[in-house]
Amino acid sequence: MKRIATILLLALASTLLAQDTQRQPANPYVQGTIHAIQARSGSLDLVTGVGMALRVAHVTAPPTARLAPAGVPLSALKRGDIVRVQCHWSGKQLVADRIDTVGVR
Amino acid sequence: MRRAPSTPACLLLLLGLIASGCTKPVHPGDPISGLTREQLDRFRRGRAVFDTVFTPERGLGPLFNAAACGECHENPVSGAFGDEIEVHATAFHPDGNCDPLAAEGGPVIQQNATPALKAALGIDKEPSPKDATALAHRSSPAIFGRGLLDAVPDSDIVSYADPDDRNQDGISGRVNRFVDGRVGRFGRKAFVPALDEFNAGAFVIEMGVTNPAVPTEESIGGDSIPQGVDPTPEPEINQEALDLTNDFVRFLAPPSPLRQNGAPGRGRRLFDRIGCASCHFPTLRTGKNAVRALDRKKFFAYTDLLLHDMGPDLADICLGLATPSEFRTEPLVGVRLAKHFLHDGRADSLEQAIELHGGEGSGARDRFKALEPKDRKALLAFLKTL
Repeated sequence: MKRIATILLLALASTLLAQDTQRQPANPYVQGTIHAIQARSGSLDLVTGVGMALRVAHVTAPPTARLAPAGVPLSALKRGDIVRVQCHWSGKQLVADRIDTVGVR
Repeated sequence: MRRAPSTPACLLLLLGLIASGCTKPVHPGDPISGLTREQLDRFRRGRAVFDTVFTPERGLGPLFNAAACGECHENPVSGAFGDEIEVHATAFHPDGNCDPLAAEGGPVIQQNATPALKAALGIDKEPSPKDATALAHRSSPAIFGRGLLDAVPDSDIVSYADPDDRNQDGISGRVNRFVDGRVGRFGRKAFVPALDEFNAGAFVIEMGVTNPAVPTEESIGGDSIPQGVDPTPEPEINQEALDLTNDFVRFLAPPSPLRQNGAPGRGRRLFDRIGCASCHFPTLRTGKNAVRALDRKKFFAYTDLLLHDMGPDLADICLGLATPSEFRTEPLVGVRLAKHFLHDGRADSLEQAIELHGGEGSGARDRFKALEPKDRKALLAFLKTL
């Protein structure tokens, strides 16, 4: 059951990355490895995907984005860290509401 | 009215059936035993999807390596070995990070293009990513018993790891992890966590066939596909076709080892004694599983699903946590059917494959080389029963 849920979430994340104008879920999340981060401009590129089909998800992180554990600035993140980003849509942009560190490579 | 068989006759019949069920060998391409009628039906229908040859009109491409799953996993049966060699690429950075080059089309470099893509861009394969620090060749493995490997609990794999070689046996297996942090187990670098995800990804990266789990095509070195080149609407197969394929692969049994009399029996003991079994664990056990045939089963695996350093001579690309010289222990089930060996097919014999082991495999390799010729022969004879 857990695996099915994971796959569905991955499929959801993958669908979110498709550049189409289909109906967008209200509270998507993306979990992946940081490919690039620019803390000052709040730009975050995550590698995500299904199997060997990997994609880059671009997320913008406003100054209000929370970084768990609380108090850690966005600039503490670096390429290779694994994060889970709770987002919302702003037009075609994914905007981070909360960023949790899942693991450090 | 037909007379009911007597109790002793029924008992004999039952015992006969049980005995034949216990001893009936599983041939390459057979399903695992204990499937329900419905699961067997799905296995057979899934094999049909697995062997389906896709065309551009049915979703093939625009970039692809092969036109069917069964094109690369075919010899001598669907799900077995293939002679195709793939090209993979990644970038290994000095800080130890591995970039799978997702922004440049991903780590698999497709070697074919549809006529429409050729006409649009004048390319007949995906260009190599400019940021790649290494290229790798990958042979097509047999996929027997992958459903059983899929059902091994993550916690078991983690428990086998000994990254700091605390027991000082020269073997220090590590767990690989996917981009989202989950424990990996599939692929030559143990990068992919689950079989159904591996399959869903493979439809797209190997054949350019999108599906509900991966509804977007691969980019062309990071660039979008030109308009009009891929007219088939996404997803190009539906969930049922994907599920059937998953069931075929999941239910594909590891073939029974051939009988081990004489030399192979001694070879099995030598396999343990010289240390091959330190990584090629002969058996693994599945965890709780909704499919009864996969539920808490001990099975022949000959892998620990961990990464091991195989030395600089075999090193190629990184992937996830795997450094260029780390590879997952190859499951040896069905190896008797292979024509070429190691991750890139560079070895033409089992003996050569063993001799090419380096790094953590060098101890077992050296002990193999030090064996008497008759013992080496016995060990190879054992491997040819798998």
